[in-house]
Amino acid sequence: MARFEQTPLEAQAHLLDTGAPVTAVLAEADVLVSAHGDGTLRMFEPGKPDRVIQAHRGAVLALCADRDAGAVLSGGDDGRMVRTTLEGHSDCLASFGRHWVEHVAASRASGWRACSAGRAVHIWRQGVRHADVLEHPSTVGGMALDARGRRVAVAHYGGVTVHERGKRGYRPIKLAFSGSHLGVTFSPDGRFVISSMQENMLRGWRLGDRADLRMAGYPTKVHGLRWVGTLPWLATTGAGFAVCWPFDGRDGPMDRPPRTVAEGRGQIATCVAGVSGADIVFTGFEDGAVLFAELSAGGEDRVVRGSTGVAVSAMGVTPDLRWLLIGDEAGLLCHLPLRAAQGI
Amino acid sequence: MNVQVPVTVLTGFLGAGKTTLLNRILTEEHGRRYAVIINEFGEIGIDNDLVIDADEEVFEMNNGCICCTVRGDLIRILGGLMKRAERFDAIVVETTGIADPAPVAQTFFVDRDVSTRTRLDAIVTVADALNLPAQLAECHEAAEQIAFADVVLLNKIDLVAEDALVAIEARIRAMNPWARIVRTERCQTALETLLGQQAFDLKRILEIEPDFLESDHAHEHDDNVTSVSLHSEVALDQDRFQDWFSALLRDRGQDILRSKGVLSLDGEDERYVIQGVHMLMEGDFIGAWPETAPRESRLVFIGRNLHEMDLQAGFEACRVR
Repeated sequence: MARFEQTPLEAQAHLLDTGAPVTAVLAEADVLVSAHGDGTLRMFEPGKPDRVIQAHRGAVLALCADRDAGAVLSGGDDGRMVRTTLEGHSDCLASFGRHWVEHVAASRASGWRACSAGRAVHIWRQGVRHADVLEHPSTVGGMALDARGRRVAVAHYGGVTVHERGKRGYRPIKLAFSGSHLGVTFSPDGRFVISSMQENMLRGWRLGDRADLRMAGYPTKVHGLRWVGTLPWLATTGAGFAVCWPFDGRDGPMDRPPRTVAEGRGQIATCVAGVSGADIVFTGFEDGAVLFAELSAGGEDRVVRGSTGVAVSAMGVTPDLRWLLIGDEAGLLCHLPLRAAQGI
Repeated sequence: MNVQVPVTVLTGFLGAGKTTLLNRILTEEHGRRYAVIINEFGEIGIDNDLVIDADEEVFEMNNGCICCTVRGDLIRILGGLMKRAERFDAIVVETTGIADPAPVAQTFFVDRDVSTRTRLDAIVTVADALNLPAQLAECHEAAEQIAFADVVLLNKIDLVAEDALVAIEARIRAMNPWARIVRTERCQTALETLLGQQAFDLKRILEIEPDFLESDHAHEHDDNVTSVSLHSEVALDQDRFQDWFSALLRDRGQDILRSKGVLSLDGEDERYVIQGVHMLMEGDFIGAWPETAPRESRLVFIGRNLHEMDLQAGFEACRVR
């Protein structure tokens, strides 16, 4: 039983049933790239034919923009970290045997590339041949580089470790909180580190004074964290709407409620997408619906795509907000031109 | 899309025959696709993309429940496997020889992502018929693995005389009255007797016939893990039962390893079925009482120090007066 009706916008969509669960989507300039459970990357660029690249043998587990423009970095359950150019050329940069490469990150500012395999994070600095290896007490649950690309935050059991590169190597800052941490992100200004947990909550720290934040009340685990808008907001999944935490001012969301947008009519949000320049968020739900919402007060939700019955698993939007790519757990891709919709 | 992939947990001490069984699952022509998650000490000589390495990472949950531990690595790996385009007929998780099976089982109760995409099918314990008595004497993990089992594969029976086998079986029964015991040599038994058991399906609990042997063999050993079966022909008062049972699991859940029951609750037309692992439990109304079957409640506990818990008296106090 569909909860959200099909939209006129959907008539303009390019639909593609790949048969392989969509594990990640990102925008690299005006190219949208999807990663899949069959090891492929797919690239969508206006006015050009779609491209399919077999980057991994198993499932692609992680995807990010590479340190060089015009390329992406991916990790897979084949134990490899692969660089793929937007022209469709793939190179295996590192291989870890039976360990899965579950997280990848890269920074254009510093030229670092990083990936995790098991308990270790491997970092390749520009101009340095060997990788720096940072070990952790348990398997890496999440990994993020800050905007300058000089610090890496690693989520694991018992907290988050931030490794900052100094003249003589890495200085670890341990941010402890009991429980299993599954994802981590730096705020764009680098002042806060936020982790998502096995429990239905987020944990955070202000790095300057280690003041901690606790963002609870979610009915399910939070899988999606995305910085959007100019404030900026941290848009999150795990509830029946997008939960967006304000990170303006000195204290960020401390003692402040989140803004909740994109009411899912009883469905849990599984995916959020947005861009840094605009106070809007796209929210995907477990029934496949995708809503558009403005983060300004009083904005109304608009349905971008109606319910399909299959959970949205990944989503990305181009920086100019002209194209949206929605992927789901069954492998259906929906490539939408946004300007075709009035007001979006 | 929403078919839950069954997961079989394979426990047993080092040398009992787990590796032999896993090799059979991976190499025999059974026409099914099984993914096998092996532990860091696994000796599988087969290297293909259906074999996944795991470090057993047992995590505590922040839910105020002291014995609520889960396998963090399993949550991660099952989540990763569900992203693959190729589907699996089933997944087998091997634990290390000395592993407590509770965290694996609890993972399926606690984690919503795991329990929506996969389901715990059964815990299969491979026991070495020759060495089990010594292992039970030396390691409490051996008793836990027997206590948690839905199926005990009593392996290496060719090394043990018939009367000793009967004694071992009686001992297993005393610890775990509902496990099915399968005698084997070199794990030679049809895989269907081990996989696809649906032992954690509440509907299947209706069929359990705990096998309490009247044999004295059971009492020759002072096993720490025992079982208690309770029975009532008088319907139970819902509120009193819930109060008693939840307090029991809260206070003594560390010692209660598993519990299962089919209950006749006063004022309800359907059978109420429950199962628990330590402090975690689930229950549901499953269908009307069959006309031929008597409306009676049965409740079985497996655990340690059960004699201290006044189970009989507590249960009887729940009966409608």
